[in-house]
Amino acid sequence: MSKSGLTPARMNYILWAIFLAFMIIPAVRPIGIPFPIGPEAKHAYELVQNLPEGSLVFFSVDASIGGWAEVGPGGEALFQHVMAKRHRVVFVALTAPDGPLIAEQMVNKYHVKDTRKYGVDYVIFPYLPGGVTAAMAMADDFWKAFGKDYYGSPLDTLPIMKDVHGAKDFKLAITLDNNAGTETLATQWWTKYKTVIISQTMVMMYSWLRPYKDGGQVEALLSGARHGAEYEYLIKSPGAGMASTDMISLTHAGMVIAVIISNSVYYFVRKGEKK
Amino acid sequence: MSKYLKSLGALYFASAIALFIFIEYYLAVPVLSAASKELQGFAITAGGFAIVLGFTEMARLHLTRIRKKTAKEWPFSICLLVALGVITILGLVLTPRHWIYQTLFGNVYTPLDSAMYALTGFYIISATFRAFRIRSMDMLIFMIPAMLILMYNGPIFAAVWEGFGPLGAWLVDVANTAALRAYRITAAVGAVVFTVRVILGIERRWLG
Repeated sequence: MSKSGLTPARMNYILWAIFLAFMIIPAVRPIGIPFPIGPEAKHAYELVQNLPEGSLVFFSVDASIGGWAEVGPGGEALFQHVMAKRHRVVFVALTAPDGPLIAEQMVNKYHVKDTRKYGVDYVIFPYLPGGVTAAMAMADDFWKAFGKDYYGSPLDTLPIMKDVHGAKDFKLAITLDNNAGTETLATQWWTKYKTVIISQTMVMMYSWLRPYKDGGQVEALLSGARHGAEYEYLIKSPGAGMASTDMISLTHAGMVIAVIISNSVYYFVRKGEKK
Repeated sequence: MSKYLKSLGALYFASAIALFIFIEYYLAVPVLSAASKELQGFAITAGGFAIVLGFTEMARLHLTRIRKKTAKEWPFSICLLVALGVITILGLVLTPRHWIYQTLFGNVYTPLDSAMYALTGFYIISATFRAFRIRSMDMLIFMIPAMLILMYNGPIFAAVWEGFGPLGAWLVDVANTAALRAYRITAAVGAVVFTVRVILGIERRWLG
């Protein structure tokens, strides 16, 4: 313990309290800190925007609910955009068993049922275990991979399925990924079928997945709530991403200030000790 | 001898399947493709069994804890098993589409999982705070890019000075990705080597 009685544990509590305040204050009273719109969000937006109406979109919800705070804003913005553009959407879950439930939550949250018809404009499939193997099976033959949809309906009763046979039929594949959805799609769908892929992932996974973007396997790579906020701005639908931008700004600024202050104190204390 | 023959059988079987899938991937022969699809179906079924295996193993572990009354752990094991049992029975009997299952997912599981994920944020804050203490020149070199990336990720910094954007982007997209790319390539080469060793029957550790 130091002379001031500031133990590492107490220091932690102080830090946590400060950062908790940085999160709560902008949530209660948004500040509206500006943020630039980066090329990645613009590119993803244009990919969805320029697809002909009614194009088939493969929408893989590969994020568990724990990481939704980061993946969700961009994921929901992409979801709103593909629905608004009246594309036909096939929801699957390659790597997360929560996927179909999250897809259903998005459908309910944005009242999709009011404007789009299940089985005609969109369909939800259950989680298919197997990861890479499941992705290969879907790419080769959707009908064989899934006997029924998430609600237990046979595929021949769903009109949308007349046009869905495999990866070749999809104009775009989107993965909301905090697991291994991007890698699975890039290696199995792009390599064999050259499917255009948009990935919305977490910030900490960005560098890990960036080689796929540089290699052209992933067309647009969005990461974290920040890109989500940019996408929300582009589709003019403010949501959780734009709301969390202030929190991200304040906590990051707080961290920088805390590091500068602590190092300055540390420097002067050591200088004093040397004297 | 019998055990040896069994291992040998499994070895040849796995090698043949791996080789078959490998060949089918590169040659578009309809007969091979049809057979490959069947094998993929087997793998998906095996994946389903893996979930059942995980379920039973977890149940077994926690039942053992309860039986032995492991200090400070057994009450939590009871909670886990009750939750596991309730959600499994509801899922099997009512299906995940039922409103009770949906309510549990949306109002219990979702906030709990999000809260657990959010808790890590606080530990990261204290860990970062300690890691960024400049004790030496090495630490200074480590800290400068880390701070720049913090500034790149916080939109407020780009609003103050636009230069934080390209600077941070360069560190993330070029410097950081270059290091990770090397790591990825190494891992991929390792995976290819491992696969070839399995196909050729040189790698036998997976047999147990």
